[in-house]
Amino acid sequence: MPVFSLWLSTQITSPASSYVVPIDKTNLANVAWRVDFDNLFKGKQNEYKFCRVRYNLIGETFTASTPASTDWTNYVGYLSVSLPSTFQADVTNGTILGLTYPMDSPITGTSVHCMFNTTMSDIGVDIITPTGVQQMNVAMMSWITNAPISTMQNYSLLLAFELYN
Amino acid sequence: MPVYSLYLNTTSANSTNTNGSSATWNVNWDQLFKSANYDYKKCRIRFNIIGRIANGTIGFATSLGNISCTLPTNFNGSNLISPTLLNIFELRASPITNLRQTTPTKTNTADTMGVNIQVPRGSFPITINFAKFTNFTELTDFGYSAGVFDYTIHFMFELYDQII
Repeated sequence: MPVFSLWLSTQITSPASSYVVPIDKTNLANVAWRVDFDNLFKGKQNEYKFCRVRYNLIGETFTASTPASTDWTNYVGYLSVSLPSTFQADVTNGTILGLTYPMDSPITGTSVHCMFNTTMSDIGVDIITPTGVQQMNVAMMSWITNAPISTMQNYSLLLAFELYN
Repeated sequence: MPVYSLYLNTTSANSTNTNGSSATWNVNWDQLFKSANYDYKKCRIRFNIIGRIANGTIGFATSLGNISCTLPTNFNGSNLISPTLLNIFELRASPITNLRQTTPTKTNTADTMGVNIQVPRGSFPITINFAKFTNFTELTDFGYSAGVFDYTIHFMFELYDQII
């Protein structure tokens, strides 16, 4: 059951790899990436039917020195990945990988709050093993509006894909 | 052993729920599992919940209890009690300083062994219940109009024991 990792950062200004390219970063809460899964999995994608997805997310949220009363709830929601329908179970909302919520910054005095959520030690969620070059949208959706979190700032996301049969 | 996710949210605009302690959703399980639910005999449930409770209307002692889900009788995990108990339910302090007026709750069983139900097949509702730890009755403070309790819950259904 091999595990492959994919790192996505909205702060990348030029692609670090021709295999992972940001297509559209105009909305940081719904960024489109082009991913070459055949190269990511180095041919193993043809040996395994299922793919368990887990993630590790660090993000920058609101920056005011004193959070507004609505800030906590504004950043609660879920993280999902959307692939072509053949690779996922729920074609309406994408595949929901986990819930998101903000935290206090560990850096005293910055007044910059952050978001850190991980499912790396959880059971994870399955998709069908993706193959070929695909567009993958990574969305962070508000639990209030069910729309992308409008004030989402930059984030760094590590996705772990565990292939299995 | 595929894992499928289901996201339920009481704050969504199309929600018609009027009681946060006992909210019901209709689910088409065959679509959720893409018919894989007919290929497996058993189903393990895990979940992750985040909720918010308005300031001042909820007493800590009356807000502890359990979270359970109710399915049609033949799909519940146990005959001992009607709902399938999922976990203990507890309050947390807000992770954001100065925002403690909105008390959140967060409970996660995604990294635990979970609980079994019978594999859901067809289309039928699921009810999420919150009960007091004192007398096993519904947390009446969680009605939406008085003590506002909204939550979002992410279920993970693990199907296993494949039918050969």
